[in-house]
Amino acid sequence: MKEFILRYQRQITLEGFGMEAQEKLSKAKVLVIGAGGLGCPVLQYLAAAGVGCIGIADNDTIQLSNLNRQILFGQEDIGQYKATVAAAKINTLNDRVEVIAYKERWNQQMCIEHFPNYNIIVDATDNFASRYMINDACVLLDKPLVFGAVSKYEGQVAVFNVQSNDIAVNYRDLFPTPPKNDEVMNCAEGGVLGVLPGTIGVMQATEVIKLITGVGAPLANQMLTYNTLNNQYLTLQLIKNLEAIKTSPASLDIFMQTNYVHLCS
Amino acid sequence: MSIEIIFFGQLADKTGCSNLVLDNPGNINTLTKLMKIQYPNLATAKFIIAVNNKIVLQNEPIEENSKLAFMPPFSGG
Repeated sequence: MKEFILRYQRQITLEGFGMEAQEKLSKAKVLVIGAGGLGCPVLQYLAAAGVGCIGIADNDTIQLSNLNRQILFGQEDIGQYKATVAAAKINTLNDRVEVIAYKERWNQQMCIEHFPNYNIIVDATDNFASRYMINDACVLLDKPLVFGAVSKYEGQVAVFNVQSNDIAVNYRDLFPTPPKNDEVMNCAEGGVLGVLPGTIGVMQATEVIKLITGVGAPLANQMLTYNTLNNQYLTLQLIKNLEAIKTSPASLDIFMQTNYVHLCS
Repeated sequence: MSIEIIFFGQLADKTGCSNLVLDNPGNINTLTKLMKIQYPNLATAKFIIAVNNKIVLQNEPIEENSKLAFMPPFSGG
């Protein structure tokens, strides 16, 4: 108990936070899908903040080209699984956190199997197939989703599937159908400024902490955009899109039958 | 009277500009048509439009001096 208070003293001391919020964090379970540029800072800050259980899902191995932004990893980790290395690193940061690493490629079955075990899902992936799959599963399984995405010098953060003013928007309310592969460049093609996913990932971690503790107002039904080049922040108010009802899977059976890779190519 | 448009992400690459000030064409549909004629690369792009920070999904009048955002989906992480 003494160690608990010492470790989180700076948070517990915070007005409006206190022991109550800290205990909520230690009871929370958060699943972070993607341990890359966004996932690394999310994982670090959630572990440091004292989230009780953190799931890490990533089937990739660490490459030299990851190191400009994926700050949990060092040169000696190249070739190893991101989920395994990330789990070990955040456990050295905070051994009180229960860490579960998933090295398999995340799929629909895993959404259905594992999402119910977590309070919040964090989308830190890097492709539309995963993003639409995670979004649809969160809608069907009624899980809050903290979304983050980057492109070159710009980033987006949003909280989906959380009620505010009697509505809860999700990614399909913004973009009912995924873009085709050639319509949007990914980071490998378009590049990304290394610090940008750091900024966006830290914002995602902040939203997770706010959702768990109830401190502040989360970005529900909003999307925050950030441009590193001109320091422009914009918070867009989102609304329900009737088109999304037509394009979203209506049941878990239909979800299981959806080919997300095909949908996004 | 004019309106201002901000093109986000790769839309700025497609139009060659990140900000644009133009005479108010009156409504969203007319504006979208106009932009796709002026910047043919936009015709195949996916984006949503926000007027004064609020997403609009249907055609509606644009008030003078409005600030519009053309926002594409981002996939990177």
